[in-house]
Amino acid sequence: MDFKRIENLLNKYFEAETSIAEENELRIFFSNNKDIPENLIFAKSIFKAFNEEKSIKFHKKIHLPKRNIKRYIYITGIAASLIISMFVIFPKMDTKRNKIIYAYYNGQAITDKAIAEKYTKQALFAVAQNFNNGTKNLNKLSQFNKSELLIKTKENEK
Amino acid sequence: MRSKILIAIMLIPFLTMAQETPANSFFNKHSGEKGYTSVHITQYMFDLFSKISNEKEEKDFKEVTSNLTSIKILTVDSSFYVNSDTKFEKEILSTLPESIYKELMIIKEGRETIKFLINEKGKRISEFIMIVYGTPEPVLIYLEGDITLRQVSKLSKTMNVKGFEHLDKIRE
Repeated sequence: MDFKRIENLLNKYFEAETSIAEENELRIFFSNNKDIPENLIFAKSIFKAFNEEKSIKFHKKIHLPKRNIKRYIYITGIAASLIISMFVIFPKMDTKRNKIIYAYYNGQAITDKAIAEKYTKQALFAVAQNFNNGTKNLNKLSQFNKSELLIKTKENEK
Repeated sequence: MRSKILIAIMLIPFLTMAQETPANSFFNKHSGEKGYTSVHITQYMFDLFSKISNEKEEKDFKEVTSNLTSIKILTVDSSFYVNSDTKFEKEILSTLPESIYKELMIIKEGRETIKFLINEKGKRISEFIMIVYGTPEPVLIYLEGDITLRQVSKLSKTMNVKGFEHLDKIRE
């Protein structure tokens, strides 16, 4: 065996100047050879330790937490219902925060008091007018009854 | 069990929205449609009316408006009239079932017909509807709230006497 060469390689190794091929050569040398000169025996234990460390493997099973689908659905459900209820509540809150919506004209919000007032007047006036038109005729009817009564009482007087 | 609760929670917003009467859905259907003009007056307007000074002559007006939750007006544009009037008339009469809406008064003047319909809940009126058709401009006026007939007739009397003059005082 070329112990001289091994010694040189070892020196190089400790200077961290060896190549991967040379390191492999050292490793093979120390694991295969049993009769190693005394001046090199210290290195054997080092390479032995390296080999042992290399062979250690992790055998335990790792239990990664599974994604809880049920819970996931549950949470998204709550989130969705919150969003939906926001859409229901928000327009009402909005009117309080910003401008008060007095009316909608063809779906467009009207915040002008005067315009909304005009529509209210028109609507109530139209209802009132037509309502009166109807009840006016009822008044005529009651007057008819009065005149009829008058005729009857006059007839009785005769 | 959980999923049932979840579904129930998700349905809440829809249930609150689903309380729609036939007249309301008719209004919503045609609101914004071509040839129709819709006006929806919100409760904020009536809140405003309730803040006005407490004069005697305004009392009746306030009494009615404070009990209203909304006024909805739907008109058919006269330019759209030719082919839509009979459609409007038929549709509105068929969408408002007689079982819910009682005819209060029907006035016919020539071709024009004015119908007053009410939806009574106990002694109170929850919906008061006036439909005018047979004219170039059919109209639906729809009052929602908690009204009595006495209030309506009172209102119409004061409105008749004072008309718009009376309402002009409302300005703040």
